[in-house]
Amino acid sequence: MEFEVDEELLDIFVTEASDSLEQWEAISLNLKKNYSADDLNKLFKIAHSLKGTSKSMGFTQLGDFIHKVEDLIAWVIRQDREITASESQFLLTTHGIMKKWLTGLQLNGNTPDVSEVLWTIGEYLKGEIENLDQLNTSNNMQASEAHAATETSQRTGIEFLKVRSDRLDSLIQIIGELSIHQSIITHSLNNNDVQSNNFKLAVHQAAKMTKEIQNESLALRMTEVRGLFQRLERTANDVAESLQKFIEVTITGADQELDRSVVEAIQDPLVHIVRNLVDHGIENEEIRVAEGKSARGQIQFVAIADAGGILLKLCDDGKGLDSEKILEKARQKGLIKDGTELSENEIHKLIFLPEFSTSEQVTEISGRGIGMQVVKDTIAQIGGTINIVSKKGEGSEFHINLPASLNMIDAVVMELQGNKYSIPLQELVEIVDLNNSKLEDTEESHPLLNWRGSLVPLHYLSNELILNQDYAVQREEGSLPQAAMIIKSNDNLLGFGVDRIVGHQRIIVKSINGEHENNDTLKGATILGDGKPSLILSLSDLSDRLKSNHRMEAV
Amino acid sequence: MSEAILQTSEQLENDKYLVFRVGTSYYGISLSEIVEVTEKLDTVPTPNTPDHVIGVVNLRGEVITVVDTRHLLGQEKSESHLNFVIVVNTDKGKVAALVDQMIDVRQINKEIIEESTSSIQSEANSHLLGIAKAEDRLIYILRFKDFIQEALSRLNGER
Repeated sequence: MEFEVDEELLDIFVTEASDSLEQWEAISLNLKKNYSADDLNKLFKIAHSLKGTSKSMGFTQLGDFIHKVEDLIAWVIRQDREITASESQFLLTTHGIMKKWLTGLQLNGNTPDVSEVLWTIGEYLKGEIENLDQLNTSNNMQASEAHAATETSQRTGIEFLKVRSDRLDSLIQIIGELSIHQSIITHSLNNNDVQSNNFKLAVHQAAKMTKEIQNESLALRMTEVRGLFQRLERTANDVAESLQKFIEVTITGADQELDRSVVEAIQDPLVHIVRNLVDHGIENEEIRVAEGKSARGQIQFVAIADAGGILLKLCDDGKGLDSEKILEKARQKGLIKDGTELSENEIHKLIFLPEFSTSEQVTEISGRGIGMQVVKDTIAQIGGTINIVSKKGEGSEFHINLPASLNMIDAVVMELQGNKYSIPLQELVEIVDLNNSKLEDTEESHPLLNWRGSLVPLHYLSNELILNQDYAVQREEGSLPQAAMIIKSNDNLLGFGVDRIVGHQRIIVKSINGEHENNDTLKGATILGDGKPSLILSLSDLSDRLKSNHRMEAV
Repeated sequence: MSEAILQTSEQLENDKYLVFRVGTSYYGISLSEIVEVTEKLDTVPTPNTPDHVIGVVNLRGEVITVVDTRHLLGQEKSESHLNFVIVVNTDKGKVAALVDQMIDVRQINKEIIEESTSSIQSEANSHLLGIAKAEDRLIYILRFKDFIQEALSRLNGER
């Protein structure tokens, strides 16, 4: 670092500069698609103000670098011509370099060496070099790394949130109203006037406002998927650039909202999928034209509101998944037995198995570390699901279902041995009243439930959860579970018997302090109206575990 | 001069211990390790966890794990005797430890804490700072946070 800077000032500088860079990236991406002199002017302004703030913070080198970029933009504007492909790609490269710089400043003061870049721009402006491709290729990979590095640094440093001001205003307004009702309540209590209508009304209103505050404050954490899509577009662009492929990215539904933590969690998996789409999906130009497709590969990012959550679709119109190849590979690796018949969809699902990669040679782009299995697991961790729809020759679509917010879910609260547990509503197919259902005994330890014409294995949930028996209220001898929760896990139906259903509730998910992270059945906890904690259980995880136990017994 | 004063007051703080009883033994832990002490709270048992984890409680809106010190200290198991909760801050957040009875807070001079030599208290031995002799009893001085933390880290392994 050039000299010591106050840490708080530095944080503010980095946050503001990151915002500017985000705009920079969006505009550059746009510029690459459609040239507009307006956009170029905007970039010039951003560069100008960034240069100013960098220099005033004492980061002269960064300032000098941005100055050079500013020169380049001014030079293009002066010539009154459209920007060349190599120049617009360079503007994206610049974004990567500046981003890396900011990360460096924040983490350890290590900043990238840009002397070569500065020199090349100088020569280019003088007309000594024809284009900037050399710079783009040598700095391209660095850019994606910088992206990854910033993500990590943002998690460690102080985080600044941008919040929509109208949401904050409405929150403050509700809190103001709440305090009025609160003073009515206090006043009535002091005057021993709890029977009055005023008092009752105030209590009722206060309850309503509290609920509103809860909703509004959660909304503060929501963010549009626009930023996420922008980053994915950037990735698609970078990958296409380095593979000499030509693509066009279309974005739909960028204004859908997700919780920030959801966006943070899925960013890396989605980047991996997009890399795969471009690398494995999109064919070379000649092949595409020969097959009667448009010369440019079409990549689509779509966000749709769906059943209390968001459905993201990442699509390409490339080769599609090759079922035969996947099958062959799966057989080779012994993942499936000979003679097993699998549906098209089941075959596609094989790519989510560990260490599965169909690309014959591992390319630098998609062959890095994380496989599709990690993608699936990460998405499952935050309560989402992923599916592939693919047709050979026509392209692939990844469908990712996500909860809009991690903090609040719809759940069914039920009772088990005197304690209340919550099950996410998302997991349940149906709740069945066992008093009015038929059970059929089997030789196995659990009966079968006759449910809508099919036989569903019914497990008594307390038997499957190993609870600390000393502290659980003992169930009366001979009493039977009153209700069954039916879930679907890997296309199989499974029932869990519980003592009693308490009700359906929207609950706030809290993490449990202490080391429970390896216990996948525990998804967190919530606090119920009676002040007692209630654990949130994942029945689908439990059923996976049951299945693997049975397999072990069979061996 | 001022340095010397500082040192003494810090030492005084360090020398204050909360003494409590678990089963038949008495234990002391430094006040600096404790977040708070309360009476027992309603506990909900957690599934598929080892025996020394009793469950979770609601501590003013936070859901925290409760461990059974009787079990951890090798004492006879008995729920009805565990009446108090000591909350400590670990690397994984707050954790509540159930103990039998609070005795008092007392000053114990470092000098009278004798380093333990034998293999008594095997579970807790590695976190035993020493033993202090009070009027009529022995007080085992524990590094409580480390002790609880290690118990929790075993939570993942044993399952």
